[in-house]
Amino acid sequence: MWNKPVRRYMRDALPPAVLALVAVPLAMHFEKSLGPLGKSVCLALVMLCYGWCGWVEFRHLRQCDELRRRLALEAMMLAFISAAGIILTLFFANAMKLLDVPFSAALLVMLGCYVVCEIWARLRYRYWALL
Amino acid sequence: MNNRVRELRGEREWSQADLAERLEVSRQTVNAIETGKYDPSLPLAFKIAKLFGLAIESIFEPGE
Repeated sequence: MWNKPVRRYMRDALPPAVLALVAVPLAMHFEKSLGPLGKSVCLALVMLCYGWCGWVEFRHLRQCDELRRRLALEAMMLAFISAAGIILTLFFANAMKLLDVPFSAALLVMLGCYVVCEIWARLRYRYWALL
Repeated sequence: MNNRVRELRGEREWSQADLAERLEVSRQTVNAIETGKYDPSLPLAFKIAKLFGLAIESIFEPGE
């Protein structure tokens, strides 16, 4: 069903994804009962999952064909420009007391921009393979 | 950039998937090259030229 690079990607991505799925709920569940050291360990574990997932994604992208790499480059560049613009605008709007946007909105803005830009890039090249 | 990839592929009666497999790229990449949405890198252009047994300039030519 899957070709060799995709099978390899799935095999590489599974351990950090499972670890993240276990670590994040556990960290959130025990957050109140933990001391500063425990919280630091939880945070480090979550960051480890993030870094591991990021490394797997990066390695996979380097092995993809050149159009897929171009698509990722265009989507990420546009997402970065648009997300930075929106976050900067919200930051200034907050500073000028025009809005009261929570810090967590930045993550949603980044994810939203990335999804929109990825769809835009895929539409541009008509590239619908998932991985 | 204009190219003759579709024409050359047609002469050999290969599908886009066949050509993609021979070039070790995705079928979408072949489609994007044929429709002129994407210009291949120099290594891929050389690979295409070698596969069809032609010089690069006889497959790819500068467009407007």
